[in-house]
Amino acid sequence: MSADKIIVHIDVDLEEIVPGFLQNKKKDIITMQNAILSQDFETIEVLGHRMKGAGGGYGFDEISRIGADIEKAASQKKQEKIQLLLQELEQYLSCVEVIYE
Amino acid sequence: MKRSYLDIILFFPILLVGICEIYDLYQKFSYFGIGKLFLVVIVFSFFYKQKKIQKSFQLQNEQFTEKISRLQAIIEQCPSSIVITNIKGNIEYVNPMFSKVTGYSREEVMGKNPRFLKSGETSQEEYRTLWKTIHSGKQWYGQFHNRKKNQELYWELASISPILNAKGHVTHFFAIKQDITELKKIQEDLVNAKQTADLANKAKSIFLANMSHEIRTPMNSIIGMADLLWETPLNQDQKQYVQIFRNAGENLLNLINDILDLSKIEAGHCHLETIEFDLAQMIEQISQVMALKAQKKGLELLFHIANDTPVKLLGDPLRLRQILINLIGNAIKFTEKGKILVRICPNPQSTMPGNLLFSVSDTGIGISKDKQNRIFENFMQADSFVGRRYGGTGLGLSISKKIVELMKGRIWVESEENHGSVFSFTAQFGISEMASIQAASQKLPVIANIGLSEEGGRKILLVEDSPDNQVLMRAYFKNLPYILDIAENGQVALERFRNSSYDLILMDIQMPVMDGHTATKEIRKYEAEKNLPQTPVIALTAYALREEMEKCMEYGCNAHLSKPIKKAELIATIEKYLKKTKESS
Repeated sequence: MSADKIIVHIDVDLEEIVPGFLQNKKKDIITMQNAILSQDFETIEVLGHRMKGAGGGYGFDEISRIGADIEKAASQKKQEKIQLLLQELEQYLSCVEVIYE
Repeated sequence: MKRSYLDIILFFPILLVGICEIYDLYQKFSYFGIGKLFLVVIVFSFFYKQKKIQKSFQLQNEQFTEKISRLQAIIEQCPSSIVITNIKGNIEYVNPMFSKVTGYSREEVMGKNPRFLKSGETSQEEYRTLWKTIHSGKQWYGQFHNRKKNQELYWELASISPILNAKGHVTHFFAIKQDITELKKIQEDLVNAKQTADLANKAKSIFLANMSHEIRTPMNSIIGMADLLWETPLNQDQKQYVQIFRNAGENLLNLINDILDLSKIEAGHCHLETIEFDLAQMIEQISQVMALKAQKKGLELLFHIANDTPVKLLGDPLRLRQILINLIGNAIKFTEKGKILVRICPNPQSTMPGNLLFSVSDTGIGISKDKQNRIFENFMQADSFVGRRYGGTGLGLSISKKIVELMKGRIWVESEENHGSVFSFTAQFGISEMASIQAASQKLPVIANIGLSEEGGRKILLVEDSPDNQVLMRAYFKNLPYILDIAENGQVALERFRNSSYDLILMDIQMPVMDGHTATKEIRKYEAEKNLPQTPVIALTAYALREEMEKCMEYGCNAHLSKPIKKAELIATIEKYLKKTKESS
């Protein structure tokens, strides 16, 4: 994945809530990393599931896709896969730029 | 015949010491003769007295000299150095030990100030305190790092006391000093040895942490491949082998994870989070996970949070959860029948708010007294028999103990063999600013009441557990003429529905406590009982499968929207169903 900016166009109505959502995803990454340490796959599965459900609604289809993959990996307790996905999510969050229109 | 006798009794000082008898066989004593005789006796007794006094003086003198020489011998032969100085601090006496330790002879040091021993290693501040103390008539204890005549450095432990005269004035100073160079060296060696040992232990932990990580990577491939193999067509024998393969892999992975966890804590890499969390909610989640395991063994699992327990806390919920799951898991593992009770209350031993006491009691096999302390050590189980029969790494309690200590608490066990165990621990949490003490057991379900308060708006109930989706939906509804209520799970939604009326329900499917299917079924049941018209229920799911949609309809939903939900689609669907109910009513 390149470190270039990823431009996402989002409805101006959501301008107030999008930064909070992205911030929450960063918190989720930390929570999930801790959950891996305590082998708490259930929490990861729930967070992945929620991410899948919410991402696209906010306009981030990529977050939905990563969430779905995390949910699946967590249900199979595939730690390394989850780690990779969290890295991917982190990368995405650091590159994404939102244009409200 | 005339005879004369004269007896004079002699006393000294009051004891009878003799009788002086004088007699004349032929004549009477003349007065003059008696007078002369008296004179003789007086002179004699005077000399006698003198002699006696002299003798007693001599005796006293001898005793005194003996005493002095004994004291001197003690001081001279004392195994500690002794130095006596005058009030100015100039040396008046040193004993041979002093010369032996420092290398300076008595003659060399007489009249000098002992500062010639200074090496510069003892701070000026120390000397100032020393002089201040002894000048005020008090004793001073301390250590000097001094220099011998041969320039060698040495340590001594000294006690210096002022010597007072009858009037209470300081006349001399008396120092008694012990060479502790050897002792110091041993002490330093010990400190170094401990540091080396700590470093080695830390290195071991870091090595373990790295190794565990390295082992985990191929382990995941092995388990992953075994899982894939499991899904291919296998005959009965192959199935059994692969199952053993998978179980062993899982066990090994769990062990590695425990070791990784422990070594992380030991290497000091484990830092506790400080985040807000709801204790009651967390306990509810734990109860869901653990109740299943307890049920499988036919055990009862009960939770009790005391009324005065604060539940909005600041701390590390994941680590707390880890301890509780470990203790409850052990309780289930070692109990064949009966119940497991988890209690939470403010720690009665502490006055700090947020200091809580947790206890997990079971009716299991118990632990004998002599093994109770050992079980919190690494890799220790009550005995090897337990290990063989019940499995496990023996790391769970050790990890729990370390986390509890990080949470400024302690963990302990009370148990009797065959009569169950009670594991308790305390931990210090912060109290979340938002919260006052809340009666946890009387806590009402959390329902957010959001939306327009405008009269006449249509009421919509959103049942959704994800906070992100709640926020998103609130944003979608911002400028629409609807009143939006939010319930966080099916159970809450059901209660809300029974106490209020709604024009439409948006129902998430996968939720904790009660899922969307069950909630919809219950709502339909309630409506039928009360003879109410059916409220439209729109299912919101992350499943895009056809079967899933059909299942929703089966449970009584009217429509189905796939997440991610787009605003236009949502509004259109809502309007369609609200219009329908309006038309039909």
